[in-house]
Amino acid sequence: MNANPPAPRSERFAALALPHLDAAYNLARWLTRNDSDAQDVVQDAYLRAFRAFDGLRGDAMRPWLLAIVRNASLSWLAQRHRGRELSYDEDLHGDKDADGDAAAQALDPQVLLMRAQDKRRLDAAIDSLPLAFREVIVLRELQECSYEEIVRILGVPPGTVMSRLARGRARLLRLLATEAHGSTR
Amino acid sequence: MTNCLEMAPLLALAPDELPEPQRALLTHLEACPDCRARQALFAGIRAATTRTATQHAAPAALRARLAAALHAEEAPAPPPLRAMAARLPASRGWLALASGWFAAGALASALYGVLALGPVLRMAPAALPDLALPGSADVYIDNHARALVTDHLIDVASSDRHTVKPWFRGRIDFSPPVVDLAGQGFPLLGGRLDYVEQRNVAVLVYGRRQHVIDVYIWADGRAQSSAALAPAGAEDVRGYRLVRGSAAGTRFVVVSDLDSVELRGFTGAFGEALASGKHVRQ
Repeated sequence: MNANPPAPRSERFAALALPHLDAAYNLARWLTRNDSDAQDVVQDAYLRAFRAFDGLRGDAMRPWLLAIVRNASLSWLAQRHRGRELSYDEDLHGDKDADGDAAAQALDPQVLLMRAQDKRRLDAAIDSLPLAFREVIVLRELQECSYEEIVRILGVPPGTVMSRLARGRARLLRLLATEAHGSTR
Repeated sequence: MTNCLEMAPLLALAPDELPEPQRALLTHLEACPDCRARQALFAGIRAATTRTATQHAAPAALRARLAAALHAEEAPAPPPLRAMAARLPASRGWLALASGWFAAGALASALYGVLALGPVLRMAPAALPDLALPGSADVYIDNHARALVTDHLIDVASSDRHTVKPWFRGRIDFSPPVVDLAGQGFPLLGGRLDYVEQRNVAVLVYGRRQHVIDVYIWADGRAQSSAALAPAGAEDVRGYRLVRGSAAGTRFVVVSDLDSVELRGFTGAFGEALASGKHVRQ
């Protein structure tokens, strides 16, 4: 019985949005650091995106969707931790770590590179990054987003993306240099 | 002349990540082995991060849940199976339900100006085939429950039967008919391979609101049963329901936590779509 109406809106949305589900989940998983929370955040974000879908005109789906996932993750973290996790400004300013720098300088670069190739150590180091740096590292290094995409996802100017990325990488290096088996710092 | 202190914040960035004005500073590198080494270290860390860090893939259960949620979001009122079935005399069972679908279908077809009822009209009650499939209800329900719990509900996630059907090719010696029931409120979520009684079995996964429906499907060895037919009542086991059916040279077992009325509605629509041969023509 061939009585199907033209592809419903949900199918059009699914066709465009579901291919980005792994990227969406990966981002939410790294930001919330938890599987079931990430699943809830992504489901919530997708439903929000579905409702706002008609407002998407000629924009690329991926950055639009990831921006919604990122915002949903941040709201979730703000609720869960009452802002504790979201000490964005503090993260961004309290950025000097002479001990870490010294440790990074003192270590043989080969040792640092080997640590970066150890999945467990690297994951733990990324997990220990403050949110503002973690998100930009995940977007750039893991999701391989372009600058333009990151600018859209975070809603900040390119110069800010650049400086957070540089500082995030420097911090990641320090974490790898000083890491004590993934303990949080 | 640039000094190393000015360079420090730039070394973590790839040259193509730098805006034009800062790129000029990189000339400093030619004269400074320390800065060069640090830049190389960052390049190595970046590459290692991309290669090594865990990429968390979305669990199949999330995919299935999402497909069902999106569908529910769009269609707050799925076809009124429950009301429809309530009007039917229970004793006539599946055939009555099927004719109910048929009536609803006829209406829908008229609305869309498509009349494709021929195959359904020819559907005969025939001799009730032996519906026994290998394995007791428990086997299917255990598999269904395990798939839900272990997030291994779906191997190939797609609402497109032209994606799901070919996926089984080479994995199983039977090409399962995959029908599209989205119009009846049962969107296709995907398929998986399951294992029943020492045999690989194709499983088609459909959704209804937040519920998941598994269809275990086999070729019917007796081949002559080209007409649809007619599941007995639903078996209730541990909160799940199971309905057996056969149509168009296949036998199938439907398992879900849907209530039995909706589940029989699904089974009717599924059997009818198989019998109409729509999946073969397209």
